[in-house]
Amino acid sequence: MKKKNNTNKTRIISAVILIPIVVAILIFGNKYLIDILCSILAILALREYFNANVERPKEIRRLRIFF
Amino acid sequence: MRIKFSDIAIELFGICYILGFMIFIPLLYGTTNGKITIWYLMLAAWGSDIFAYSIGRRIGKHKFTKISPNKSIEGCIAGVIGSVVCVVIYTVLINTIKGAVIPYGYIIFVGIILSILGQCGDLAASSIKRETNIKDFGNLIPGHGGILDRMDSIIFMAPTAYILLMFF
Repeated sequence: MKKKNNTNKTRIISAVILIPIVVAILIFGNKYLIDILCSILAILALREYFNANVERPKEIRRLRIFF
Repeated sequence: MRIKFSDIAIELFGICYILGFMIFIPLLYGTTNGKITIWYLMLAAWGSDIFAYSIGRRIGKHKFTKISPNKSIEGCIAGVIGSVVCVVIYTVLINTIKGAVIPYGYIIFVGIILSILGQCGDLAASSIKRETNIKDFGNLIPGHGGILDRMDSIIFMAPTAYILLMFF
């Protein structure tokens, strides 16, 4: 129960920090900044997806070299 | 290890799902009124997530699916309502401050569709996690289960949001 409360607290703190950053980027940013940030986020998300799928044959994993 | 069709499919799915869908976020931002329309995507996602989580936790009794046991039917409905409320409030502000004439009926439709797609995205991410036996995709955003977990609903909404909002 205590662990769950801590996770919720961490979740809320992260959101409170990140939401203003995202809002500021969307309001004051320009097209190029959004392009770059989306590219970085896409690569990070893709890496997370690949890390979740580690047990694939070596030949398949070679596809990941581009990311 | 023998290569199976499912291995290739899962690998390519990740590439198409993340890159192919996410490219619509900068595309939407790059449209004529992108700085205004991008907020529909964000508000629909945030409104849906926040309402579904908070209402589902309080009054959620009926389980929605086995893929994600914490989701309830009440939470899903609250998510749709939350999304619609957020986009309608935003449209009222835009119509009042900027003098735009964005039709409310269309925006309610956009809110409903985006919220449903966002929840499908949530379920897709849960299904991937269940399939790969992991709890979180990563720990880059503490408490949120990784970037992919945070972005899953926005990724699913982005192509439809682009198609529905590109003409504004």
